[in-house]
Amino acid sequence: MEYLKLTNLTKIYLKKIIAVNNMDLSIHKGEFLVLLGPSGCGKTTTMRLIAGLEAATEGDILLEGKSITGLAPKDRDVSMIFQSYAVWPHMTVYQNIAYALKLKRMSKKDIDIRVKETAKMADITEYLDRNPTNLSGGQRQRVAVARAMAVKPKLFLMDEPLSNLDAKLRVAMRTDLKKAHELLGSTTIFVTHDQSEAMSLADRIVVMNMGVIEQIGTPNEIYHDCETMFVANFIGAPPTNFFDVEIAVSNDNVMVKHGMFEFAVAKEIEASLRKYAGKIVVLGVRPENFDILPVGKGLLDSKIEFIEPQGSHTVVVIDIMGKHHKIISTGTFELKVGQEIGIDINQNNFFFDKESGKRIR
Amino acid sequence: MKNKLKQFTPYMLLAPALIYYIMFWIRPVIKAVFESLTDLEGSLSIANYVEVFKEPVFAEAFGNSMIFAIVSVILQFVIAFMLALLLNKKFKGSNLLLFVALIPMAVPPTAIAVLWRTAFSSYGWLNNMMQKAGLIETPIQWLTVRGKSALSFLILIDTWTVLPSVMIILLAGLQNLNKEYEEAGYVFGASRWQVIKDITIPILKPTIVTAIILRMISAMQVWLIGVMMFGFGRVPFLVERIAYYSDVVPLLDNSYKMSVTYSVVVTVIVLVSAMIYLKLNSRGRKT
Amino acid sequence: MNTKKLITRTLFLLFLVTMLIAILVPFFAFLATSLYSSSEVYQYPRTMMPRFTYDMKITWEDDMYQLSVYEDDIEDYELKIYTNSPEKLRIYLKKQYSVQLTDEEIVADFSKSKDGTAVYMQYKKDLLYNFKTFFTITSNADKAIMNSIIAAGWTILISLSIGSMAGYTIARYRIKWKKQINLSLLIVRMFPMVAVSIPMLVYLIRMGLNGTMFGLAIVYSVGNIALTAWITNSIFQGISVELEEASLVFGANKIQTFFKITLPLAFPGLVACSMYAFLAAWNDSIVALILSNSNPTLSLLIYKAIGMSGDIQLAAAGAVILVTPSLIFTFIIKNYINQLWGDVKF
Repeated sequence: MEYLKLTNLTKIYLKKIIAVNNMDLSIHKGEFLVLLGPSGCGKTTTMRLIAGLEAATEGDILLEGKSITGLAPKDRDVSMIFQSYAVWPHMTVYQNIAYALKLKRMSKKDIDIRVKETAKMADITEYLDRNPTNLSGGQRQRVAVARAMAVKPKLFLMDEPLSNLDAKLRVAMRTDLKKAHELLGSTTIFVTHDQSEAMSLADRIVVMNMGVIEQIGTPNEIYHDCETMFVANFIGAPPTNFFDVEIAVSNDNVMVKHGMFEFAVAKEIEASLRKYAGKIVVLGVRPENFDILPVGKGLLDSKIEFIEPQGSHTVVVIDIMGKHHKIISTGTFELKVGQEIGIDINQNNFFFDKESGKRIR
Repeated sequence: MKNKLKQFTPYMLLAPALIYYIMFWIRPVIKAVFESLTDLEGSLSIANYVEVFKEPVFAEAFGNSMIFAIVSVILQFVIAFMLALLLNKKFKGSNLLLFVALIPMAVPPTAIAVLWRTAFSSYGWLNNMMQKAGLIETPIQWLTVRGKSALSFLILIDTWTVLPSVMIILLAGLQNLNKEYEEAGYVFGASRWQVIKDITIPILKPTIVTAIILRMISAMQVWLIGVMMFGFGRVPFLVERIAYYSDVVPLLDNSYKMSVTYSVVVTVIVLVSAMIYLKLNSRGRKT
Repeated sequence: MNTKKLITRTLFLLFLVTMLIAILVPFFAFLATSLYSSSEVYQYPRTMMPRFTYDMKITWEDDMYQLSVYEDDIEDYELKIYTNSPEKLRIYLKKQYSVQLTDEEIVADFSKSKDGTAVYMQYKKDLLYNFKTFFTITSNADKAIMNSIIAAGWTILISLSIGSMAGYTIARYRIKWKKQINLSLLIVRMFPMVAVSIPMLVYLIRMGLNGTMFGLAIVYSVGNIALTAWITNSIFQGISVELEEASLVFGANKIQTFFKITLPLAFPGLVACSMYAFLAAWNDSIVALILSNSNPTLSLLIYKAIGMSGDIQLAAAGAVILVTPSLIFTFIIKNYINQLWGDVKF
């Protein structure tokens, strides 16, 4: 049974800007769900609608089967970690956590116990009497997490909480958040535009674009089984390479034809692609699904334009019909800029309808 | 050598301001204190202060100045804060309102007095309007009021003048406030009133404190509007006494001594009340 | 739900309109008063809009001109004066109705009535009459305006040069006692200027500067140097040092950098500072009263004018002249108002 359910959720600003468009989403109890998308895709608005900081234009939000759509934030039993942490600067760390508890009408004694308990968990006991203005970004972030944890909410909301931290700290905090989530088993919605953050934290990822859900799935599904061209492009670095190709059906074979190369498609996809005979579709190939071979041995030949070594692998920029494509080489080839190489494309490909951008399955 | 010079550059740039303040601020103030503590023959005495405090009008002037400062500042800040909270959102015409709100602040004090004279004279526009609206039958003689009613008149005029600008200051403070502080309050279960009381006001406190101090200090030096509305002596203020000795009776033997003594008294009162206010404030913060 | 929304919206709108009216009506009524003729000022009740023309009727009876003026409230002509002297009529029309005619025009217009028919004329009111009169009856009005401008000019010059140097230094250099300097600037701003003015009188007399605008500017500048330092400090802090460093890297020297990079960036703020200095000098009356009573500024002159005469419309005309630059400058510097009040951390 779903724990939180959004139905037809819509938010329109100033009668014309559609931030969230007719969104349906279900979240299970204890799940860590990440809303991922570029800025302006409606992910933060969705979270703010759930928190009650914005009023929905249309649609319903159900928490444990009960509608909370019209409720004020204080009656929703959620807690939130803000992008700027929003640790109140005029209160000490202790007061920050205690104030949130006081609003829940806990007794002074219980508050004291809970604050100390949570502080221990978040590892901020030594800062309890400090003023937030004297804390570093990472410390402040811990305070925000502790404050959100202390109230034991039904729902944890996190609005890009790691985006203001430096790279190293961000990775460390990521692990901490994941640990805290496993410990508390809390239901969490996490908003981010950082895909590696999303991948490493999420049980499921919701990829959003222009107010609409593009795909919902586990990190692996999102990466390896993209539903739309947008997802294929947005997820993965370097992004998926796209080629406009023509589908040619001859005898029993379904062929993909590009100016530089052609190949027969895998058996599973043949039937679907037959409908596109003679039409142009989009072929999407992840950078790691290319193979680098000696000249003449592959599907096509190309020249290396740039090389970006990454240590564990090398990003090779090649030119195919005047367009730059990034492919990943894990081989031990000695590659040089300007070198002619052969390229092979393996069968782990996506085909997309050129009009709708939807995956052809 | 060059390094030495570089070290001195900032102090050389500050020197003119420092010299100016020694010459035209510290020196006159010391002179004022000295003059107020000497009699006409030049010997040390507190006769001037005795004379000032003995003046029958002194107590009234002191009371009026204090009441005016306290009442007008409280009135203006409470109303202005409520207005600012109400207006703290984008709405159609908000720019127009802010533009219009600047007008009273822009009018020089003497012109403010003339403006309200045109309202409150017996054939002034206020009586005219009220007559047109059927509220009164014969013109009201506004300017013949005395005592506390005259004082409250002046407080109302001051409020008209200052309220919009105080509102703009507080509004700017509200708009610069990180919205997430308040939102965090809402999410953790605070009502609108609790957010204002526990989060908005404490965070805005530095802005509010400064604005109140500056307002209070200028309110304590009120005199012009009283004199221009009612004439000297009707609603005496402390600074009004200085103006009185400079403008009306500048040639008495003790005019200079009286005004200098009054000016020291005003300064002490202003600085002491500012300090008391700050003390009260910082004590309030600790608990 | 929807009706509640409607009610709050209506209340909000009502409240806005009330506020606009509360601010604008007094202001417009005041402007209108400066355009009233003497007869309008003492007319009761009257409309708020000043009249622009007068309908008059002239008849000739008993060898005298009988001048009647159309009054809206009785919807008829009312006899005002009878005389056979065109000069008296001219003065009467001017003083009572701000209608400026020459004796010849009066004779030409009015003599038509001598054959027994009533002559109906419409005369235009001279809208600037009060302003002109303000200059003629207070003989030193034009001097007072010049005085105000000169005092303001000196104040700008002194406080901008000394104050911005201090502000720049506090913002850019690591100096000792920074906190104390900031605090003392605040104290100067809070300090009652009357306390400085009275002893300054003695010094100014000694220097031969009493009654001069330069002498006034010295006192005005005390507070304004602090304010200018305060504002320029935050302006220069707002200008990234990297912009200056970029200029130095590309080969400019320190002085070139200051004049080519820092100063242009700070310019709007410096303009705001000078306008504050202007307003401080232009709006003041107590310092001028103490230091330059016999050679008044415009503000002081209006203060005196209201005590002298009952002609409120003349004082209003003078006050309108006083208001105009203040209004313009306040609107120009409106974005800097917050800095005037300052967000001071104690």
